[in-house]
Amino acid sequence: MGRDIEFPREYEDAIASLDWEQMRVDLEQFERDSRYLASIVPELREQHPDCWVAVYHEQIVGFDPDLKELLARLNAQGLKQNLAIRYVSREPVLLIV
Amino acid sequence: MAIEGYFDSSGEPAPYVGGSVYLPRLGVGNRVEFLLDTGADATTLHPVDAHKLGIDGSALGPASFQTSGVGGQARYTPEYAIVSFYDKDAEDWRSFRIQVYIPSPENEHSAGSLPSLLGRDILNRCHCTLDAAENHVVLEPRRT
Repeated sequence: MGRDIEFPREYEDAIASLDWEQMRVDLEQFERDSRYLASIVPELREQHPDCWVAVYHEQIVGFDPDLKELLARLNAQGLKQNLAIRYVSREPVLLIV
Repeated sequence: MAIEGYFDSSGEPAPYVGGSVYLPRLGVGNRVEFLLDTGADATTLHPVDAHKLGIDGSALGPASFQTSGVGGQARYTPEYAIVSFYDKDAEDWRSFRIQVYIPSPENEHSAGSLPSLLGRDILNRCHCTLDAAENHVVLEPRRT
Protein backbone atom coordinates (compact mmCIF):
# COMPACT_ATOMS: atom_id res chain seq x y z
CA MET A 1 0.00 0.00 0.00
CA GLY A 2 1.25 3.54 -0.71
CA ARG A 3 3.33 5.63 1.57
CA ASP A 4 4.49 9.23 1.60
CA ILE A 5 7.33 9.80 -0.82
CA GLU A 6 10.56 11.34 0.35
CA PHE A 7 11.03 14.99 -0.50
CA PRO A 8 14.39 16.70 -1.04
CA ARG A 9 15.55 18.12 2.30
CA GLU A 10 15.71 21.67 1.00
CA TYR A 11 11.90 21.79 0.93
CA GLU A 12 11.41 21.12 4.62
CA ASP A 13 11.94 24.70 5.81
CA ALA A 14 9.21 26.00 3.53
CA ILE A 15 6.90 23.21 4.60
CA ALA A 16 7.57 23.95 8.27
CA SER A 17 6.53 27.58 7.75
CA LEU A 18 3.04 26.79 6.41
CA ASP A 19 0.23 28.49 8.35
CA TRP A 20 -2.00 25.49 8.96
CA GLU A 21 -4.59 27.45 10.94
CA GLN A 22 -5.06 29.97 8.13
CA MET A 23 -5.24 27.09 5.67
CA ARG A 24 -8.02 25.54 7.78
CA VAL A 25 -10.02 28.78 7.72
CA ASP A 26 -9.43 29.14 3.98
CA LEU A 27 -10.42 25.56 3.27
CA GLU A 28 -13.63 25.90 5.24
CA GLN A 29 -14.72 28.89 3.16
CA PHE A 30 -13.55 27.26 -0.05
CA GLU A 31 -15.66 24.18 0.67
CA ARG A 32 -18.73 26.36 1.23
CA ASP A 33 -18.02 28.19 -2.01
CA SER A 34 -17.48 24.97 -3.96
CA ARG A 35 -20.77 23.50 -2.77
CA TYR A 36 -22.59 26.75 -3.49
CA LEU A 37 -21.11 26.86 -7.00
CA ALA A 38 -22.17 23.26 -7.65
CA SER A 39 -25.70 24.08 -6.48
CA ILE A 40 -26.19 26.97 -8.91
CA VAL A 41 -24.91 25.27 -12.07
CA PRO A 42 -28.43 25.01 -13.61
CA GLU A 43 -28.88 28.78 -13.36
CA LEU A 44 -25.35 29.40 -14.58
CA ARG A 45 -26.03 27.37 -17.74
CA GLU A 46 -28.66 30.02 -18.55
CA GLN A 47 -26.81 33.10 -17.28
CA HIS A 48 -23.17 32.38 -18.18
CA PRO A 49 -23.08 29.50 -20.65
CA ASP A 50 -19.69 28.21 -21.82
CA CYS A 51 -17.89 30.34 -19.25
CA TRP A 52 -15.54 29.81 -16.36
CA VAL A 53 -17.33 31.12 -13.25
CA ALA A 54 -15.59 32.14 -10.02
CA VAL A 55 -17.21 32.25 -6.60
CA TYR A 56 -15.78 33.77 -3.44
CA HIS A 57 -17.63 34.00 -0.13
CA GLU A 58 -20.69 32.52 -1.87
CA GLN A 59 -20.87 35.34 -4.39
CA ILE A 60 -20.13 35.19 -8.11
CA VAL A 61 -17.06 37.41 -8.49
CA GLY A 62 -16.37 36.90 -12.17
CA PHE A 63 -16.97 34.91 -15.31
CA ASP A 64 -15.23 34.62 -18.67
CA PRO A 65 -14.94 32.12 -21.53
CA ASP A 66 -11.16 32.29 -21.06
CA LEU A 67 -9.78 30.95 -17.77
CA LYS A 68 -6.54 32.92 -17.88
CA GLU A 69 -8.40 36.17 -18.61
CA LEU A 70 -10.71 35.53 -15.68
CA LEU A 71 -7.84 34.80 -13.31
CA ALA A 72 -5.88 37.85 -14.47
CA ARG A 73 -8.89 40.09 -13.83
CA LEU A 74 -9.52 38.58 -10.40
CA ASN A 75 -5.83 38.77 -9.48
CA ALA A 76 -5.87 42.47 -10.39
CA GLN A 77 -8.75 42.87 -7.92
CA GLY A 78 -6.68 41.18 -5.24
CA LEU A 79 -8.55 37.89 -5.50
CA LYS A 80 -6.17 35.04 -6.01
CA GLN A 81 -6.42 32.55 -3.22
CA ASN A 82 -9.23 30.19 -2.41
CA LEU A 83 -11.48 30.89 -5.38
CA ALA A 84 -13.99 28.20 -6.33
CA ILE A 85 -13.94 28.09 -10.12
CA ARG A 86 -15.59 25.77 -12.59
CA TYR A 87 -16.43 25.69 -16.26
CA VAL A 88 -20.14 25.78 -16.99
CA SER A 89 -21.06 24.42 -20.39
CA ARG A 90 -24.27 25.44 -22.12
CA GLU A 91 -25.26 21.79 -22.31
CA PRO A 92 -24.40 19.17 -19.69
CA VAL A 93 -21.29 17.20 -20.56
CA LEU A 94 -20.89 13.50 -19.83
CA LEU A 95 -17.65 13.22 -17.90
CA ILE A 96 -15.72 9.98 -18.30
CA VAL A 97 -12.31 10.08 -16.64
CA MET B 1 -10.61 10.25 11.83
CA ALA B 2 -12.68 11.21 8.76
CA ILE B 3 -12.47 13.67 5.91
CA GLU B 4 -15.83 14.71 4.50
CA GLY B 5 -16.65 15.62 0.93
CA TYR B 6 -19.90 15.90 -0.97
CA PHE B 7 -21.72 14.78 -4.09
CA ASP B 8 -22.02 17.37 -6.83
CA SER B 9 -25.48 16.78 -8.23
CA SER B 10 -25.34 19.24 -11.13
CA GLY B 11 -25.20 16.14 -13.34
CA GLU B 12 -24.91 12.46 -12.50
CA PRO B 13 -23.85 12.84 -8.83
CA ALA B 14 -20.06 12.91 -8.55
CA PRO B 15 -17.97 12.68 -5.34
CA TYR B 16 -15.74 15.63 -4.53
CA VAL B 17 -13.53 16.55 -1.61
CA GLY B 18 -11.82 19.86 -0.90
CA GLY B 19 -8.18 20.01 0.12
CA SER B 20 -5.11 22.18 0.33
CA VAL B 21 -2.25 21.65 -2.08
CA TYR B 22 1.27 22.97 -1.51
CA LEU B 23 4.04 22.53 -4.06
CA PRO B 24 7.30 22.99 -2.10
CA ARG B 25 9.65 23.30 -5.08
CA LEU B 26 7.60 26.18 -6.48
CA GLY B 27 6.57 27.61 -3.11
CA VAL B 28 2.90 27.89 -4.09
CA GLY B 29 -0.27 26.63 -2.50
CA ASN B 30 -4.04 26.96 -2.82
CA ARG B 31 -7.30 25.19 -2.21
CA VAL B 32 -8.35 22.51 -4.69
CA GLU B 33 -11.59 20.64 -5.20
CA PHE B 34 -10.80 17.06 -6.22
CA LEU B 35 -13.05 14.61 -8.03
CA LEU B 36 -12.50 11.20 -6.46
CA ASP B 37 -11.43 8.95 -9.33
CA THR B 38 -10.70 5.29 -8.66
CA GLY B 39 -9.80 4.99 -12.35
CA ALA B 40 -6.83 7.34 -11.94
CA ASP B 41 -3.49 5.83 -10.94
CA ALA B 42 -2.29 9.23 -9.76
CA THR B 43 -3.58 12.55 -8.48
CA THR B 44 -3.61 15.31 -11.06
CA LEU B 45 -3.85 19.09 -11.07
CA HIS B 46 -5.74 20.15 -14.14
CA PRO B 47 -5.52 23.62 -15.71
CA VAL B 48 -8.17 25.27 -13.51
CA ASP B 49 -6.11 24.49 -10.42
CA ALA B 50 -2.66 24.72 -11.98
CA HIS B 51 -3.48 28.27 -13.06
CA LYS B 52 -5.00 29.12 -9.68
CA LEU B 53 -1.67 28.06 -8.18
CA GLY B 54 0.03 30.46 -10.58
CA ILE B 55 1.88 27.70 -12.39
CA ASP B 56 2.77 28.36 -15.96
CA GLY B 57 4.48 25.93 -18.25
CA SER B 58 7.89 27.54 -17.88
CA ALA B 59 8.00 26.65 -14.18
CA LEU B 60 7.41 22.96 -14.79
CA GLY B 61 10.00 20.32 -15.44
CA PRO B 62 9.96 18.14 -18.53
CA ALA B 63 6.65 16.44 -19.34
CA SER B 64 8.15 13.09 -18.71
CA PHE B 65 5.08 10.97 -18.14
CA GLN B 66 2.86 9.61 -20.84
CA THR B 67 -0.70 9.14 -19.62
CA SER B 68 -3.47 7.22 -21.22
CA GLY B 69 -7.19 7.73 -20.65
CA VAL B 70 -10.58 7.52 -22.30
CA GLY B 71 -9.90 10.75 -24.18
CA GLY B 72 -6.53 9.60 -25.50
CA GLN B 73 -2.94 10.15 -24.47
CA ALA B 74 -1.19 13.18 -23.06
CA ARG B 75 2.07 14.09 -21.40
CA TYR B 76 2.15 15.22 -17.80
CA THR B 77 4.83 16.59 -15.50
CA PRO B 78 5.28 15.24 -11.98
CA GLU B 79 5.70 17.75 -9.15
CA TYR B 80 6.28 17.19 -5.43
CA ALA B 81 3.15 18.10 -3.50
CA ILE B 82 1.68 17.99 -0.03
CA VAL B 83 -2.03 17.30 -0.43
CA SER B 84 -3.83 17.94 2.85
CA PHE B 85 -7.36 17.43 4.07
CA TYR B 86 -8.90 18.62 7.32
CA ASP B 87 -10.55 16.16 9.64
CA LYS B 88 -13.18 18.13 11.56
CA ASP B 89 -13.76 15.34 14.08
CA ALA B 90 -10.12 15.03 15.01
CA GLU B 91 -9.55 18.79 14.45
CA ASP B 92 -6.36 17.97 12.64
CA TRP B 93 -4.90 17.79 9.18
CA ARG B 94 -4.11 14.63 7.32
CA SER B 95 -1.41 15.18 4.73
CA PHE B 96 -0.10 13.04 1.92
CA ARG B 97 3.33 13.62 0.38
CA ILE B 98 3.05 12.56 -3.23
CA GLN B 99 3.85 13.63 -6.73
CA VAL B 100 0.92 15.29 -8.47
CA TYR B 101 0.79 15.25 -12.25
CA ILE B 102 0.25 18.45 -14.20
CA PRO B 103 -0.47 18.51 -17.94
CA SER B 104 2.26 20.01 -20.07
CA PRO B 105 1.33 23.33 -21.72
CA GLU B 106 0.83 21.65 -25.07
CA ASN B 107 -1.60 19.21 -23.46
CA GLU B 108 -3.57 21.83 -21.54
CA HIS B 109 -6.18 22.02 -24.23
CA SER B 110 -6.94 18.31 -24.02
CA ALA B 111 -7.23 18.57 -20.22
CA GLY B 112 -9.59 21.47 -20.87
CA SER B 113 -12.22 21.99 -18.21
CA LEU B 114 -11.57 18.74 -16.35
CA PRO B 115 -11.60 18.91 -12.55
CA SER B 116 -8.46 17.89 -10.70
CA LEU B 117 -8.53 14.20 -9.85
CA LEU B 118 -7.82 12.46 -6.55
CA GLY B 119 -6.24 9.22 -7.68
CA ARG B 120 -5.55 5.86 -6.14
CA ASP B 121 -2.16 7.08 -4.86
CA ILE B 122 -4.24 8.66 -2.08
CA LEU B 123 -7.55 6.74 -2.27
CA ASN B 124 -5.83 3.40 -1.69
CA ARG B 125 -4.49 4.77 1.60
CA CYS B 126 -8.00 5.46 2.84
CA HIS B 127 -11.19 3.67 3.65
CA CYS B 128 -13.60 5.38 1.26
CA THR B 129 -17.35 5.58 1.77
CA LEU B 130 -19.50 6.87 -1.06
CA ASP B 131 -23.28 7.03 -0.86
CA ALA B 132 -24.88 9.38 -3.38
CA ALA B 133 -28.37 8.89 -1.99
CA GLU B 134 -27.19 10.17 1.41
CA ASN B 135 -24.74 12.75 -0.01
CA HIS B 136 -22.08 10.91 1.94
CA VAL B 137 -18.43 11.14 0.89
CA VAL B 138 -16.00 10.12 3.62
CA LEU B 139 -12.30 9.33 3.48
CA GLU B 140 -10.75 7.70 6.52
CA PRO B 141 -6.98 7.58 6.11
CA ARG B 142 -5.44 4.37 7.33
CA ARG B 143 -2.73 4.74 9.93
CA THR B 144 0.70 3.76 8.65
